[in-house]
Amino acid sequence: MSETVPGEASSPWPAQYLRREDRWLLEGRGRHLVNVPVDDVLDCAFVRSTTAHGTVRAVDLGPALDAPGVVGAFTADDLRLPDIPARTSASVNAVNPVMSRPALARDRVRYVGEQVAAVVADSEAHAVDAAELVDVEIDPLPVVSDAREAAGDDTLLFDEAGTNVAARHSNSGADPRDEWPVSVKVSLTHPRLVPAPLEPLGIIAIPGDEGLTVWCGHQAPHRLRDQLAGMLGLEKNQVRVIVPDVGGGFGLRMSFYPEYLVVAGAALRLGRPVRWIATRYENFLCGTHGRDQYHEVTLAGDRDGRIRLYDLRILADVGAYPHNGSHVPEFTYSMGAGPYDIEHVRLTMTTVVSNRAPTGVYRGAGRPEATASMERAVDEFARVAGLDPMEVRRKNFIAPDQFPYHNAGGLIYDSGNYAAALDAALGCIDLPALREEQRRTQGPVYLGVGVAAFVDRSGGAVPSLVEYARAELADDGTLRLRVGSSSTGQGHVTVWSQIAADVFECARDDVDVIAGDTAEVKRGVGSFASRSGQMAGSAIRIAAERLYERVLRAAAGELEMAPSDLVIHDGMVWARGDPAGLLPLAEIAAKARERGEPLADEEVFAPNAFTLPFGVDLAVVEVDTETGRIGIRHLIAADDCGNVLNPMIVEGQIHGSLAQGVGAALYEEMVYGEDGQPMTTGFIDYPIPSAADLPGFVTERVVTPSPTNPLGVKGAGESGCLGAPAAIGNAVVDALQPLGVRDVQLPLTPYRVWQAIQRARAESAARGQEAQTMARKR
Amino acid sequence: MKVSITVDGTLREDDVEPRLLLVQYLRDVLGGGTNVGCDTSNCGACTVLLDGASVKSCTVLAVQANGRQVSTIRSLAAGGTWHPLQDAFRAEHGLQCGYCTPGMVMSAVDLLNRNPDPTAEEVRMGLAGNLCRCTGYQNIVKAVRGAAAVLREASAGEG
Repeated sequence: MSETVPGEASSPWPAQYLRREDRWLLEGRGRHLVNVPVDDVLDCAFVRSTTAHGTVRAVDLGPALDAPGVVGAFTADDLRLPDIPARTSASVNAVNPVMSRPALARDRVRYVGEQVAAVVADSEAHAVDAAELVDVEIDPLPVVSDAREAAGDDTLLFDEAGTNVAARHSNSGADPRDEWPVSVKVSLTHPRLVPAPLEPLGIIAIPGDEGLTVWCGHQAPHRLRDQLAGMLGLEKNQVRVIVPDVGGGFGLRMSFYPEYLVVAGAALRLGRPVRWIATRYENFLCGTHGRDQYHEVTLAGDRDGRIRLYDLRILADVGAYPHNGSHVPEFTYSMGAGPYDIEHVRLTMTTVVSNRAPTGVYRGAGRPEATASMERAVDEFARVAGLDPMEVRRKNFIAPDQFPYHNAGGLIYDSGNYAAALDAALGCIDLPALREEQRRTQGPVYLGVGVAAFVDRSGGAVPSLVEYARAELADDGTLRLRVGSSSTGQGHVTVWSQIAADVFECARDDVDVIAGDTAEVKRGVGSFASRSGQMAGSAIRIAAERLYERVLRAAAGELEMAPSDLVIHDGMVWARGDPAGLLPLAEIAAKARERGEPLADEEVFAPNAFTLPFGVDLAVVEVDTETGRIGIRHLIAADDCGNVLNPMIVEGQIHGSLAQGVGAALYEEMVYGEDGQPMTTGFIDYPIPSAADLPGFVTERVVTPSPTNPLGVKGAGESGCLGAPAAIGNAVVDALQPLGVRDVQLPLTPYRVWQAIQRARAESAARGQEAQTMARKR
Repeated sequence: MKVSITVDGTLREDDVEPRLLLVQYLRDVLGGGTNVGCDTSNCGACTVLLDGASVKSCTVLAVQANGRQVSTIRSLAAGGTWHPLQDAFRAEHGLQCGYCTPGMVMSAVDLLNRNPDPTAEEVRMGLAGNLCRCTGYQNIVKAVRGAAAVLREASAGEG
């Protein structure tokens, strides 16, 4: 009866897991922002600062205004838009309020790429041409090029703040002893990374009689609506945000960009649609970056491997304006102790501004940093104590019977079985054989094995992180979902319809999914921090179950039967055990419509705790000590994200996250010079992994259902980039132990690894010479 | 400048600026079918076939395509039936956001034309000019090899 559906016959996965989205994406019919048809749309190009820090003396728009095709050109004084506040609603802690961000720079520029003026023209080419003609005069100021310099407060970004510190926070944890039998200190730099989804940023603003329609690939459209309305002096219902197909998010599209405000402001001023599509270069300059933290870690405990004290000092650089990134170090802070049960935990966090581009959330946001520091320290602790690093982990894991577990960062862990994940990862390799191979190795290629155990945090346990779904019986008897979380490429349409189809026992294609449109979905939070499956998924499940009961009651009324005697299956109401269908859902919908009582139910899902996905990543690497080049022989990920809704999609998420983790481990770093100039502004100098750069991944699954939601699921989107960098880093240090290398900082570029080897060899030679001298003296 | 370009089988005559890139032209006339992901010819999202061979359409001027045939992913399905590569990308979950997909699939078409039975390593090397930030490539490799097997079988049947 059914035609052959693309891919289903040859798939290793059951048909219900395959993605509905692929039907249009694989035919080249994806509608990304640039392809949204808008009549008479104008293009906006930005004039950006080429100076990292300076005083703006003059901006001359004159020549640009006279250029071909130009419809308008604006400075801060022309548009008079409000500043973007220093803090977001996501921040737990106070952020210095004077560090607000102008929509267009006024008297000061604070990073290379900061937008100084905007030019709007009848074509992209004309806008770019005219923007080149804008003359900007800037007097340079001394540059604060990184976090350590910023913390010194010698040069200030915001004079009226009196400091570069945006936020400071610490807990009251104390070190109860002067000395521990085993104590290690490690320092880690967590390089600044670029999210780099393949589709660059952009926005289209269309003014109308009712207000403003905005097309934007945003991860939280209702939040964007509220922000734009608030800053433009409009009512929320005067702004409609629509999310088209989105070419990846990874946190980049969570940020509120001043460009959004300028484009919207220009559209309202000109009374015409205005569009901004960023180039990749612009995306590197002004899209929010991730990480950029410096950690000082102390780990101390007993000779038997029990860890008793963890001290984490975080210095975080959030770039020139703290708005989008100031809450990220809070995630590191709250997750500092990872999967371990440690009695004494001291946490200190200092967030500073610098003359770099502003940061924001990037996949993992704060947790990869927490993981890399803890896991490096655990390995070092094991080395100093003379113990097996796997056993040290096992000894300190929070035990399965300790859940719900309250950690020192104020977080409740829902459920877990960390040793099971370690076992699953180790089960994929023959560790004794690898150790034997290590012992036999004479070089120049050395073998290393490293693991990283991690916990992630996902979901929502606070009022700003609930999620909304509405289930409706459409006129034709099919289901329609309106969901507050929209996709940036994960496959939400597939999974949302799968959840509802399970409840109604109908075909997945009979479920219509509406998301990413604030006019069509009355409320919503969004798609970020691995939350959609558990938050929107649970809301859909609950709303669909309510609707199921409601439809049965309506059917029971029609049929004069008890609802408990009826079931719904395949678009029809049936009596239990009776092979003949009694009433099509379309008829029930029609009757309800006649009565003026459409059949619909909704849910705002608000769990009382986050979920804590966890896992263990294991890397086996080969380090060529002559070149510093690292080859990954195996990368294994044993993940637990609770129950799994769509194993194909979950595995895809883990693969993608591992790939970003490998990039972060081996070569990704957004580099700034001492003069604040960005040195990596494209995929040439900031390489993201290609197919040729990556190993095949091995994935293993552990399932510890979450008690916090009806589906029992946890987040799955970020785990790989939490564990992989730390595991690869530990494997490289493990490989180079025989040469005396104790630490190598990420990213593990060949040059950096080679340098670490040379340093260790020089130190070892010096020690040897010293010993010889001593022997001669005797 | 006046150009006549056959895009996905349809002859088009247009007046274009000399500096207009082929990818910009395709975006304007097709409203999709290929994407722009970078400005340094690294990402390959804009890959199309020009007279049957893959090119990054951001490195070709529209005027250079004058008198030639351009094929995007939109031309792959024949009579409503998907190309084995389209089938395989869906079957193996070889795409997530789908932004790199039009270019990735067209590169794979070219790769399989040149090497009908690539090893996993050869697929990885062959597609190294097409970046994907979502999938980690493992499923793309499986998809391309799976499609290769289907295509080989089909051509054996013909032969």
